[in-house]
Amino acid sequence: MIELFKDTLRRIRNHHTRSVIVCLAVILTAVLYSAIFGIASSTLSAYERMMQLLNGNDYHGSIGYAYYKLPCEEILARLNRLPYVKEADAVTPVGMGMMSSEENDLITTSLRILGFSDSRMMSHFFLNMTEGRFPEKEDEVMLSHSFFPDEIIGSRVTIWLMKKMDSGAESYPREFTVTGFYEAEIGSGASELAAVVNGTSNLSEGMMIYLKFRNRLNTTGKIGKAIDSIRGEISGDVPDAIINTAYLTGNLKERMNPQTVFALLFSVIIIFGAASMLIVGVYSAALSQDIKTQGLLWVLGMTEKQRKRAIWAEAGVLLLFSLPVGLLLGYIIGWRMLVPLMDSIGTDRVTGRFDVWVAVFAAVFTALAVLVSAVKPLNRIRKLTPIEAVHGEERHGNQDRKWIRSRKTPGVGGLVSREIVRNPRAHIIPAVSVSLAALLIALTSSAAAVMRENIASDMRMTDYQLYPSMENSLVMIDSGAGLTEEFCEAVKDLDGVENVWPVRVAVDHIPATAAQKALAAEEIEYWRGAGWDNEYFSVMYRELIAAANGTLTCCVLGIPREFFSALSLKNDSYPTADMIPEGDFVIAAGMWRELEDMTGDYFSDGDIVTIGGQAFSVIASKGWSYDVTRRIALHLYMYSSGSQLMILPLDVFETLYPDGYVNTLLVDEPDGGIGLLRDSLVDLCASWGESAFTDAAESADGTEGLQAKIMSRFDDLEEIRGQIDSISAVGYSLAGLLFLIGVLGIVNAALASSSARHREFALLEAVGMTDSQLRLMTFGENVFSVLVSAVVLAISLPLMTRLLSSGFDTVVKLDPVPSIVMLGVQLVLSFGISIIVFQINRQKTLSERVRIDE
Amino acid sequence: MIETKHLTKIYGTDENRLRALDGVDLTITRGEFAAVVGPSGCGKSTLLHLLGGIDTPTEGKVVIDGTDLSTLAPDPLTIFRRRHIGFVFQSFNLVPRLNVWENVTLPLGLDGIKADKAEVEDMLSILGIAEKRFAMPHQLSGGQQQRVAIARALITKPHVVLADEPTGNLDSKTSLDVVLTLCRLNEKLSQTIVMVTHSEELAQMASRRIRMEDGRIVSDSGEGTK
Repeated sequence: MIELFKDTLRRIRNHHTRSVIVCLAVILTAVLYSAIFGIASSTLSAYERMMQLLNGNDYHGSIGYAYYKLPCEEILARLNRLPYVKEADAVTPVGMGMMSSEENDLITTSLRILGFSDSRMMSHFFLNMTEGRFPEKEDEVMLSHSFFPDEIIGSRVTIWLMKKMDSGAESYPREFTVTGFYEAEIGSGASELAAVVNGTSNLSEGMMIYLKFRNRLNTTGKIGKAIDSIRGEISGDVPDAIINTAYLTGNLKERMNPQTVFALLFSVIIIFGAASMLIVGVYSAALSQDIKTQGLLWVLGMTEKQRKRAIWAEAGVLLLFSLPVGLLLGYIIGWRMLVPLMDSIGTDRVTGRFDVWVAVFAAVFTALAVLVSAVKPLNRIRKLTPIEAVHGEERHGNQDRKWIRSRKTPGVGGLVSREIVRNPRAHIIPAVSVSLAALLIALTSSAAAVMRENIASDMRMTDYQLYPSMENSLVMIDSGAGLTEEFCEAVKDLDGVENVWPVRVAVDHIPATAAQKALAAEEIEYWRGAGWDNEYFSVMYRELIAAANGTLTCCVLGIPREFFSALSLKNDSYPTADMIPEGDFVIAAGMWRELEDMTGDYFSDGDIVTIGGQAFSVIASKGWSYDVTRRIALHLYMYSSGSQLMILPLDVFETLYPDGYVNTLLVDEPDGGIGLLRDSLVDLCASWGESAFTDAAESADGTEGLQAKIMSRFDDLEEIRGQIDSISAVGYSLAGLLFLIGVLGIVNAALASSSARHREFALLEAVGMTDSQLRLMTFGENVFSVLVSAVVLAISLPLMTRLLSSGFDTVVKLDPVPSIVMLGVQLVLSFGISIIVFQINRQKTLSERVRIDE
Repeated sequence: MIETKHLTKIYGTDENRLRALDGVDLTITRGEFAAVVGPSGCGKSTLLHLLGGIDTPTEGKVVIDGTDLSTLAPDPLTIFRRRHIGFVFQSFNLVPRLNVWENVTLPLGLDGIKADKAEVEDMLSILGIAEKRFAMPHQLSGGQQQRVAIARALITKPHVVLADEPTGNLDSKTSLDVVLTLCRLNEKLSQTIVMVTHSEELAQMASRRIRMEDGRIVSDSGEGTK
């Protein structure tokens, strides 16, 4: 073994060029695999994390709200004894409570309060304890810092508890001592949780049981079994088994759609292929130089297994040196640079935790590519007899073929075509790798161009938007907090302001039709299935119940008519003039579901709806992006709490709702604006302070913290530009790595071929091939790679253009310039290679090269 | 006519200096079949390579049909070789990925000339390999490969054919067969043939025998020897 190691080190020292190329191949391959796997893994985990946050916890599932004959501790103990259960915890939805503090004499309404059976549940619900301790007694409570910034540990607070979630009227006061504070993770459904009490002592009415299993397999079955194990102790109806949608295989399938899986597999195969060709090329060249030695060793008794072992030992040692470097670079480039860039693009946030499996998979795939490829050339020896190997009488490519019935007089072109036919893979695979790099660059550049174009059109409305905002989201600012007319006038009079438009808001209730009631009932079923009929979503859920019972709560917006052409009503496309009627109409923009999936929900085009006693024809919106409606709607509590958004022309709105207040002020700079007005607006808002708001707003909860917020188109633009730059950086980086591997493959194939064919070149020169013909021949052989790349690009560019067009739902033109540049680079490279091959050939005289084998 | 003047070739420098050819003066007239013999390392192949312009002399010159090879630039020298000199080597004579026909016509192709099919067929028939015209090199025996190489050397109708140990890898019967072929062609086409060989027996079949030792000609059966 030591001898083998020593021999391996000797071989590495003696063939340092080969070793360097192998190491480079290993490093590039590992970096590419790390990047690809890192992006795939982080995208999936980000999605899972997002779903966990949305669901408010990271448990695998839960047993729906139910009453039990046994105390909570006994039920949980029984569940915890099940072999597949890792943790079983219980939650009491204490309900939508009110809270009062003796010290501050403040009453806050509509608070969500939960009882937890164990302090460990805090982390499962994404709640981080910042101060104090978890409540241990029946009269202790932990508070959310964001809801209760003024309370301190030891304060006595009164909570009006509700017996059941839906029994709004049945509340009773109870005093608690504050034991600590927590903060909810950003984006978590639990961020609306105002207080946590000790569940064990408060779980008298009923509870939901949350389960964490030892693994995520067969979650449905396990919850079912868990319910069965306690079925005898349940009072009343058997509760539902609720799976945390973050772990649903269906979601994963949706995420890993066939195109994504294909893209991932394709990337893995192409990287594997490109790296393999490079390594095969390197060891082929080595074998060509070394075949007589190999033959001699064979004659002396070295078996094929021993030959392989020697090569594997060499490749293994090189892997040992270079793989850590590749993985480290992969971690830096892939995980630290590309993954955060990808993260900045999507709405799903990555966890930032390094996934060790990414490194393991990257290492395994890289090692496989190297070890499999390194011994591949040894197959050439297998085709020889030992003595043929000793004499270096290697058979080449088409030697196994029958006769070639050609009577052509071969010139340089004939020699080139025969060489390509002899070993097409050596030319095709690196060329495909290069063309894919070109394609990736073209795709990246085109996608960025499309997105830039989209921004230009999406951002074609106002430059600024002023609206009232409170830090405490539970204060319903849109139930009356409007900007005063005086403040609106002050904005209008500000220097540099070109136009100001008010957007007015009113809340109304309209009767739901039978179809809408049915739709709401359907939606309720869906919410129940998804486990969203819980305490976090209860506000929206309540609206659904109201709709199912026959009343739709509407958040009615009045928008100036000139803005309707800037609303992307149908899948991000803007309406033509004939789509917006002159008379009275209403746009049903749907209720909150997911930001990217806002639809008309209860309404369809052409429906007639009665608002404020007047009938309107409905235009139902379908999907939208960064348009003015979204920007306005996003900060409306009424909207995010499940109300149906209805948009009326402002003049119609003012007739119907004379008391509708200005919720948003849209402001424009002259000529499209470049952001100069922002500072003036900030100063104006600061100087007006709370006096910018109507009396109605002040009475909501004393107006403390109420302020005018400025949303600027320029901030959005900056953010989107940042995202586009991130996409470009990721695309160009991956393309660059792929291009490097491809180029190394092409160079190596050319040099390996030249090294293997030195005698052939000598023969050709001896029979009359001139230097220029020799250069032309090697150039021609390498130009084939360029042709392959050109063909691949010619086929794939239009194909990708079509795919991209359908993906973006717009006409996309793939920029041919990157491909032309890449082909140009490849052509120059081919020329350079032919010069190098020629120079290498010239290192010995023709006479010396003719004699080599004699 | 081939003429060399004080042809010298020195390899290496200082202590590694090796005088492979030491002032050889030689004249071979048109239509002669000269065999160069001598022990290994005596300079036979070096002489042949210098005659064929695939190596450059340290001193002296080679003149073929009035053209001093040392005055030619690389590409004109290659073109001269392609048109006026045919080469036959001991091994690796054929391009592995071309068939017999293509190997034979390769020098013409490199010169941009399309081969006359009848002429090629004739040449293949003369050499007894007409049936193998579409075979690939590895499908031929050693003797057949050498015949293809000879056909290729003759296809451009060169004035001079240089054969560097053409029978080195062949058995005695096949060797005899190949040399007889060369003799026959020499008689029929009146081409000048210079053949390097180890074999005294085969050398006897040539019209002139030149013996070399230590880079010098020590005996020459021909009148042209100086």
